Amino acid sequence: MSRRNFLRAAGTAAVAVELGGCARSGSTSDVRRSDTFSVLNKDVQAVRNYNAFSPSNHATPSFGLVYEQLVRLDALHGARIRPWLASAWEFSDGGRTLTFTARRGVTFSDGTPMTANDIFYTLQLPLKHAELTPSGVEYTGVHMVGRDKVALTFDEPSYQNLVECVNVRVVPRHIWQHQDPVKWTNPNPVGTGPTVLQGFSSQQSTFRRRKGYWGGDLPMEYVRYPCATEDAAKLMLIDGELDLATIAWPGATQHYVPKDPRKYRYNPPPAGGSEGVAFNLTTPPWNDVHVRRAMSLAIDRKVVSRVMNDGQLPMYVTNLDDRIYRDWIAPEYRGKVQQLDVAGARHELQQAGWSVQNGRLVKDGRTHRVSMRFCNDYPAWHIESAVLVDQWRKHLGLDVELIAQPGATFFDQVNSGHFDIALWFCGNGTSMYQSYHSIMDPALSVSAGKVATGNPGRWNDPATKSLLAGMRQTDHEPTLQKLGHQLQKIVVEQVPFVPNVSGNMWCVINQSYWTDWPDDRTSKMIAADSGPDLVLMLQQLKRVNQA
Amino acid sequence: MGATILRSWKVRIGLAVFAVFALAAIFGPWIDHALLGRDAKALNYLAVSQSPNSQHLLGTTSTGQDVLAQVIVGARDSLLVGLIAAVIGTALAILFGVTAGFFGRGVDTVLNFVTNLFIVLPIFPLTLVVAGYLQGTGPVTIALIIGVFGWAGGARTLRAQTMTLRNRDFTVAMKMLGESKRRLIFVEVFPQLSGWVSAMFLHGIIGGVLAEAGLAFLGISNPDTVSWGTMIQNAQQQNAILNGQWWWFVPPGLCIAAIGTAVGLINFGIDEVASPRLRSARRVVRKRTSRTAARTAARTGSEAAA
Repeated sequence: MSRRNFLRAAGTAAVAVELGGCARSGSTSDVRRSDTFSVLNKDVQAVRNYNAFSPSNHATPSFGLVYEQLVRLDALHGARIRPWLASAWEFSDGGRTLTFTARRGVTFSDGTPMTANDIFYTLQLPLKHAELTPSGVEYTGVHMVGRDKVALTFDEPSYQNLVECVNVRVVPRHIWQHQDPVKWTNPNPVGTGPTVLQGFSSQQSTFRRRKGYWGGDLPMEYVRYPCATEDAAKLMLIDGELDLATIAWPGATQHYVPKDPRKYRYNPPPAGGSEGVAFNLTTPPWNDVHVRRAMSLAIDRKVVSRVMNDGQLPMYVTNLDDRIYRDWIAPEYRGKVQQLDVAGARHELQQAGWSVQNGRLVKDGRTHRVSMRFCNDYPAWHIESAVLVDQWRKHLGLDVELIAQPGATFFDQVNSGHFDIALWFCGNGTSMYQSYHSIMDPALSVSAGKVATGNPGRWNDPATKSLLAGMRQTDHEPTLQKLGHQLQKIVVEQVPFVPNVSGNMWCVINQSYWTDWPDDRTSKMIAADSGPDLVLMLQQLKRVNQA
Repeated sequence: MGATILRSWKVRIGLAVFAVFALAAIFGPWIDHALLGRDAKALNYLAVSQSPNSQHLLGTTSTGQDVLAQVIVGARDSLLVGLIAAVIGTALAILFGVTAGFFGRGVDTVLNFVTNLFIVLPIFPLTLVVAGYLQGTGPVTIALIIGVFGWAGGARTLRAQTMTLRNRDFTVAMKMLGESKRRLIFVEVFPQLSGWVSAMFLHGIIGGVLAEAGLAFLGISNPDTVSWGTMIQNAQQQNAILNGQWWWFVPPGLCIAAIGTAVGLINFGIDEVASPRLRSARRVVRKRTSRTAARTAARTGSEAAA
């Protein structure tokens, strides 16, 4: 580069920085920081897309603040469902009909009241436009029942599908019916939430509090979402530019909190599921239960958790987090974590005729080189996968090849069955049924090559299939528990996947400006960056008096 | 020519530094095991994020890997990428540039078109896309990508040089005598280009090392490989700067800088050999010349006196 070019480039860069600075301060220069709640938007390619149905990865945050859902998942208390825009619901017809009652007194931000008609309109959109929900919806019909009720109908008993409605975002019919919901980017969203969009730039979006929100006004005037990578976000948290970021931070308890424990908080609560290892169960060696058990026995989960050092604890054998699902877990498995058992692991391999030679699995002259995929978008997964590989090398002599892939291709690739083993999100905190359904329901199994919506390993056990089908047909808790205990036995004994460490609900907090954050044990909600929990949390926060 | 090059102190220092890294590249894993007693990839859960100490001379990473062991082993992949990329890039540049320049006309049009195409390609994003598409990108793949996409500028330079050499008197004379084209290229034209080619090659090495580090920094590398680039990337990803773990990213950074300096010094020496005008400026030569001049002057002076 010649000197002139260099100077020109440097000049351009300086101007760009200047402009960026102007854009940023321009939108908030008249806003006091203490009037603003600032939360990270992890999407660094923000697009002005407020279509509540957009399947795009680059839809900007509006969930909770503008658009709200029918029901709320209470993630901290046994994954129960609570009312939100629907004040009540009821199953009838043996679980084939689900009727919602619309909450009274809710208005959209343009002043129009929200009615059951809007809910009806919202729920029938995915039936009319299948492309809006790539994974499909379970219900097959929507009907108005009287003036204030909407009923969903299902082909089969579907007691376990209520939680799906957690993701339904109610939109105003009087605006949406004039638009094409597939193509419209909805630049100025109108919803029932506590704020309206104030300003958008690709760096940041800002929402302003509105009067007349049904849940009660927010204590802060503005909520803004600056866009940043996880690395940049950590600096912004230290500087107080962010109040909350939902990211994992390995080493935060050493390098963040001690800098000023009164300001900085890092204590992510469990999410209910785990980060574990999924196997491609359709081929050897993974269709052999002994090999799967050996892989599980050869992991020292305490070491994995300690090295990751981000608050993820060793996962329980049932893959249901005891801290959330305690009442649902069979007594013999409560609080139980698989301990490292090298002799046991070797014995399992031996029993099935497998041995490890030159780092590969060998049986009857057939060798298998193990390779593990992981998503390299998450810094913590680099550590987790490295430790797992190290454990298997140390304890079994197995060489596992690591393949890092960006999220854009990783999830589809594993869901389509093209993998050997993979580091994977196993289970979740939405319910015991959903947790097992998502990771091992044979009903979700599709042929290799097609992208499945769950059960990436293609677990094909008839007992699992009938147990999960049985759970769909009832909302009788003792029956659900009984079926659940049998499923837990399958998970523990057959090891269709390996629970490794707990999945967590990430939150890094800087309480310089706002206090009274949810405490993970006693509070009603989790610290969230979207949805009803964000609204509940914002309502509870109190301003810190700045000197 | 070899002896002439070695007369320059710059070349001697450059070669010495390069040799140290080459040894590390060749014997790295052996050095780690035999001398340090460590595996660069092994995690040590009991020694996580330690600053340099007597046990770990350059400290440890946040998973307890020994940084010194990684720096030594990392030389192999970094240099391998640099060398392979430089060989491929230079070879392609010679093939396209010299052929186009020497034959001219239709051949030139076609080859020059391809060269121009590669010049205007947005190389860096394209490299990212290709590297992202090929999964499990080991050092050889990365080197191939860098080499295949990085030759075009050099080809243009060589083409221009060849075009001037083609019409010089000595070439035309040999052509008139009926020399074969192959002999004309390899005996008359190509030796005149050796300075350019060697500079291009050395530049290619450091370019390859830097590109590998850059790609690794952006997350395009095989998580199993240890190179200086992946070390810096890991350090960045695990917040080494934020956490004050300078020992994690400074050593590999310095190594890359040292390789760049070494290659630059060697290049100075080769330049002086290839271009006599540079050589004449050297102090030894200057001293010798002035001494001769003085002696001549003294002789003329005494002759005049007589």
